[in-house]
Amino acid sequence: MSPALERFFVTAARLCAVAVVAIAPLVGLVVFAAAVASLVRHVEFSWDASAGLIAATLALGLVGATLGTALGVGAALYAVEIATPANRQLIKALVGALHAVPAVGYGVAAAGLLLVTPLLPNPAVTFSIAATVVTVMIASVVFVQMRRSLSALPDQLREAATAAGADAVATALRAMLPALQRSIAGIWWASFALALGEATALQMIFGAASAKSALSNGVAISGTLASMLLQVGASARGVDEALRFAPAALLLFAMTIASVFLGRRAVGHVPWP
Amino acid sequence: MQERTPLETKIEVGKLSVWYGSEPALRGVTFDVASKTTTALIGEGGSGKSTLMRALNRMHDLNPEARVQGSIKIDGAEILGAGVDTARLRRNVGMVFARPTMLPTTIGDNVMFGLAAQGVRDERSMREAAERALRRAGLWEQMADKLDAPASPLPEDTQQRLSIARALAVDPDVLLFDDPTAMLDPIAALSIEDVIARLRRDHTIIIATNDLQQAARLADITIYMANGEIVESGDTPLLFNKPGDVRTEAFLAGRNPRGAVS
Amino acid sequence: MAIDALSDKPARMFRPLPAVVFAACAWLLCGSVIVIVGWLLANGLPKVVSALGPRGPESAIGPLFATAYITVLALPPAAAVGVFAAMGASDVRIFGAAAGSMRSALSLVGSVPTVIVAYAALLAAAAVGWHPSLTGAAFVFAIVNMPLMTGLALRALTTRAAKLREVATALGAPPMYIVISVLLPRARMRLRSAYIIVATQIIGGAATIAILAGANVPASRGALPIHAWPLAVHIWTRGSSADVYGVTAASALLLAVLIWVLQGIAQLRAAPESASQEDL
Repeated sequence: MSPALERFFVTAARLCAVAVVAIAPLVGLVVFAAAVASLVRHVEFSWDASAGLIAATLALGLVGATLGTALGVGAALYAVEIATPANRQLIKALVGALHAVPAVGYGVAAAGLLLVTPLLPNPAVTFSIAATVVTVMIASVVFVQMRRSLSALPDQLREAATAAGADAVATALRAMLPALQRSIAGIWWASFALALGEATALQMIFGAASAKSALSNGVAISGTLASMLLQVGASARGVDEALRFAPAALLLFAMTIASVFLGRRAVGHVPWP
Repeated sequence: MQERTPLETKIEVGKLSVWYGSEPALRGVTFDVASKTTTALIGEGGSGKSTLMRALNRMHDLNPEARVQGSIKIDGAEILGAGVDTARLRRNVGMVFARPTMLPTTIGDNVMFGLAAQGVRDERSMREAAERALRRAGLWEQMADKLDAPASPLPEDTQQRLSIARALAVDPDVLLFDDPTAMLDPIAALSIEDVIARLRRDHTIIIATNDLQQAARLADITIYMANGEIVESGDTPLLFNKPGDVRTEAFLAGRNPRGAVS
Repeated sequence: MAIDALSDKPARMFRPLPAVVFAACAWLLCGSVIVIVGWLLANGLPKVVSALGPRGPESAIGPLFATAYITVLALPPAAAVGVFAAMGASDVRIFGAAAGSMRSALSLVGSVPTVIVAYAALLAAAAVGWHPSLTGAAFVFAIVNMPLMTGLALRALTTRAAKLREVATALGAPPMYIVISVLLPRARMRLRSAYIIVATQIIGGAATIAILAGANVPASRGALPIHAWPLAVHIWTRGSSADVYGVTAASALLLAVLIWVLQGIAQLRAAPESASQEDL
């Protein structure tokens, strides 16, 4: 490769990396500018109305990340360390399929759950359904990440535990779990960031066109900042209408970025997104 | 060991310090290496041998946490700092690692990789250089008709000799061996030693090793390092028979050198 | 005596409760995929069967065509920029002292919710007076998926590559030469599976395009299928209406099957390479 070609590729790679990195600040800038514009133009925005959405976003993020991480870590430990080879293959295939279900698929299933639930107007029930859906979505992602982390551990660790007389369960509990403590903490933070922005499935739950939906009454408790943005996007006609939700978008952006930053500060490494 | 005449200085290392993050790995190391001599670096694990070797051809550039201070001159030219053609430097200062790593391609392409990276396109001159390098590594007879075979399935000692041939193909002045026999059985290790011994006449060699007998067999000069510093250096027979520092004496005797100090 | 002691069964440290809990977690997750798929099959399969009738395909062609249109348009730029960005981030020498920050920033970009990116795109498009279109949506999809492609390509280029890079560097090869002649050919299969994974993300993504274009527009407009909505949006707009739940479930089933097939291909393509990497 000639030096000129090497320079060309290096420059192109640098530009592309900078372009990808620039997506986050650009999006932040647009949303920030929109939030400022909404203030300047006195576009209607009610913090009182948003308070419920913020609380629901945080609550759903916490519940989804915590339950999803616990479920995914437990399932991965069983699949990799304890299960028989046949079961391991079966679990890997099934959870792999779950991981690949598109978000709208979860939404349709969740909408189905609402259809058959007789206690529809009860906020606790709708929140539980939303939390269940987000937990399962997160757990499948955690399972894949955790399985990767477990396979990356050196075989010597397993051998040492086995040589010391530990069976598969004790190896999983006493050797593998402690070795991956920081990874699991990182996975939780990443799950939290993922759960905060996960909207599509929820949106499916309480309706895209809420006014016409037979399911939308009384289920606003499971609405989040992200699902609200989806509704706005779907129905906004004109800049002013879209600007009404800029402060909420800015808040969601800040919450997600902050959760990744806090995760890095707390555990040093957040494995994904 | 044949008598040496005074030789020109090939490498001058002055007050070289290396940090990985906030941890110092080398602390103000100073020494010279004469042209076409063999120098052995000995010392406990973590004494800074590999860090020193990697600084000599700027391999620390691959570690974003590495910070280097001081001076390294090769043939009088400073190699640290910006503006150095590191590709040319590394072709001049070849390196062989403890674990042989084959590039995922054929045996021939492995040997010719350095030349191809340099921009050489002439197939014939590349083949000639590969043959020369393989002959010097004692592999030509074995590999002459296998140049198009994949390199990965070769046994580890052959891979290590191929690594030496790969380094030789770009015709370096200096060769760095970072514990080249660490992964090999004693018989295979001796065959690698034979190859290194044959290269001593034409190259300036620095070898980091944990095998004291290997250092005694191969090196004209031996440097004992501990805790990122040079404790003692000198002619190999002298250092091994009459060490001037209690820590060197303790290390050579297989005792804990730290205990010797206290 | 010693032989007797040896012949005894070794003391087991079996803890039934953790084993049961871990097993329950695994089978619960497996059960949920069966519930979801079973539910979609029960509700959607009759509609899929009826869609195979004489009038069925017409309503399905529009969304499928639009899905393909967006995927074909969004994938090449996302893939190209992602691979080049990964090439730049894979060698610390390309960004020098900023290499660590660059990798952190790249992983941080991936955490921005797609709904926010889409919302920003909607605002930007509205500000410059652009009308919503499938091409515009494809553009946004390309941008949204660039961080994912970069992450996957970076993993493909750097997995077990440190020693190779070290060896090639020690032979005097410049960074980009190492990436192009050693690492890219080795990562070919993994990169192909990365393209497929990104394609499935584009196919399954509904929020972005729904925001960008608005979900109140009918599922097809006029005779040109290009104006139809992708399958995911088609499902999304109908999702909550109880009266069309069967159609929604059928579409979701179709989309899930499409994505499973693509993910399966991606895994099969990545598998032979992981085996060859073990040899290195």
